[in-house]
Amino acid sequence: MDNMMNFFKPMEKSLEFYQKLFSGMQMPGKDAEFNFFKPFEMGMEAYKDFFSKMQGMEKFMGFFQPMEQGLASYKDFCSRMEGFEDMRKCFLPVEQGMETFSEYLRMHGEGDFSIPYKDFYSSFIKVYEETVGKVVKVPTVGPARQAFEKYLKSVDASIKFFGASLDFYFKLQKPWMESMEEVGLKARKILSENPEDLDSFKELYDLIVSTYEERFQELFKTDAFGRTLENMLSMSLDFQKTYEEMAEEFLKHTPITTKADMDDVYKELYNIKKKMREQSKIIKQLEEKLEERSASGK
Amino acid sequence: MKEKKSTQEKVEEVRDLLFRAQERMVKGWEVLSGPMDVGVGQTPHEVVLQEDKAQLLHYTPLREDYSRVPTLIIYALVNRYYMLDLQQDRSMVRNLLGAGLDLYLLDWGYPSKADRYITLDDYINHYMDEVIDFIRKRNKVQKVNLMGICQGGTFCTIYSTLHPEKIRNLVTVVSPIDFNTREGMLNLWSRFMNVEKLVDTYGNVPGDFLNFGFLLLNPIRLMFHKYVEFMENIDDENFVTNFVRMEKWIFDSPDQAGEAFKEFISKFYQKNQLIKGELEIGGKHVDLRNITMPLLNVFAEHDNLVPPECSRPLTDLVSSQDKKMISFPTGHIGIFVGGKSQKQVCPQIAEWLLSRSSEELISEGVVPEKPKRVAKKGKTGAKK
Repeated sequence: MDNMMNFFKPMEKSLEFYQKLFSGMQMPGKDAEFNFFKPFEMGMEAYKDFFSKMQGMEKFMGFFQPMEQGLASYKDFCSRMEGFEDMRKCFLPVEQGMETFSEYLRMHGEGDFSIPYKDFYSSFIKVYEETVGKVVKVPTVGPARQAFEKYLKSVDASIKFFGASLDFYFKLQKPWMESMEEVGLKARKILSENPEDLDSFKELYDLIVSTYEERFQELFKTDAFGRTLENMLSMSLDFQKTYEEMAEEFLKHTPITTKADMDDVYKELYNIKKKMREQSKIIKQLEEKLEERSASGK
Repeated sequence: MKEKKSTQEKVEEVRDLLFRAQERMVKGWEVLSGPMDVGVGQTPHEVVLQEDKAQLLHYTPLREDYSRVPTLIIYALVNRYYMLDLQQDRSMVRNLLGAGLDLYLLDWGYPSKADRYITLDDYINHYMDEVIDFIRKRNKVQKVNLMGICQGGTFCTIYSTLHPEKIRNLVTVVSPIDFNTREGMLNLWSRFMNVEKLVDTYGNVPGDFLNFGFLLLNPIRLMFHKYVEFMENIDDENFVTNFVRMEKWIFDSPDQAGEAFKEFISKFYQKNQLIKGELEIGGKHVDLRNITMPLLNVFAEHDNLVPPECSRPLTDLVSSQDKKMISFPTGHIGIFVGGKSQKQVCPQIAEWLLSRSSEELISEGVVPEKPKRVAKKGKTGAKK
């Protein structure tokens, strides 16, 4: 963990630098109250709360420190700007979204999985569509319009895929956490009853496997999981397709054959083969008839 | 009440445990890095017909008095046929040959991108039909026995409704017919799949994509527990060899020809057309009532890929007078490779087929010649 944290050292240093730089500047409205970062803070608190409930996770919480520092210095910087409240309106959906996510995380930390899994994805998409989604759908102009549109489509698809993946992994979290809790309770019982016997570890292992298996099977058999799986697959396919289209857009100016070109060739090949088979069958039948005729001497 | 162990005893126990683990690791390394025989599909055979990627294999009969009515095995498009001939002591093929059957097997091969437009009509009415005509001509018989495994059984059922005049007996093994069940997760997940988009994006559906789906059926056992067991038995050469061989088969998944995959998911898993009598293949209506030949419907009671509910209904839907259903207390793969299955499944299938393969010679007045034994030593086409 220490090595991991060293990775963030340069970031901390640069944050310190910017903090000092901006705090030294004389800005209008320095003391204005600004709550834009409230949801971020709430989310962070919820995360900390969640992790702090897990044994041995206290040290891990240090991981969030640079991020918190970054947010604090950014907030400090923004609080010195006048008229930021108007601009804040543009980000209201993000704020609301962040509040929702913070709430989800808080519930997650408390072991309540019901609400976040029910509408996480739709909430994510709503926030996205009202913010970045609007930007990527702005009509493009100019000679590179077509290529740029494809690029934006690919960005749009990648974000939706990201949301669908989160939804999928969140769904897996529920049985995972429930199994962990169940195993913990049962394991304590097994080991307290028979702490001397090393075989009880085998029993513990079997318990882990069967509990996790049972919980996951329960989830997998639901229509809701089927839909989530399909949604993730569908979004990943959209992303792959838009990415390929973008790649083809760039490749069309090069002497390189693209997937679309090859697909045309494959289709033609298939049709030719099929026609050839039909012709061969007819020829074979005719040959057989001829043989029959010559055999009968007609 | 157990006697309490002293600290010294506990330390010694842990030390022994660690020592044993270390010993196992060393031996395991020796086994894995040593010469391992993981060859599969080694029963002697030769390729007697090739069309595009598909190959027809003919196995060298093991008995002089083998049946004169040839039996053609059709395997699924998913995974490879050599599951039926994984190793000498777990080979369905070898057991059927040993019982006196004359065996052919259609190997679909590995579809390439150029095969993405192949349809179910091509698979059933072209490749299967060509192969069956070839065998009929080669063995000089009017009809052949048809045995379908898993998806291959669905194909065989369809073929038998469209060309009943060429089929003597039909055997379906763990074959899905009724896709409307909540028991199989594949059935459930496929219902939501946007297969149009999948094929439109991928072309051919990658084998790895299907593997991911199979692993997801039971992630804890298939991605974790299985390998823990492997490590536990790593010093057992026999176990390791079998494990590696099975891993080779599991992850040897051909890509699926796009159009055929689309049709299979849409017409079977999503619309369940076969059982509803709404299925059309190559413009021809598929009516299960056209099946009048003897039918043997075999399924596994603990099958989570093709649950028994998917296989059972076939028996009631055909017009055959002579029909039988057998189930075995095993799973989808266990039915082919399980020790008990080898002793029960193959003999019962062989006996059923043999007892129905001699009548034809009398009723049709045809006395076919025995096919020449053409396999040469060393030319087995075995997979390494």
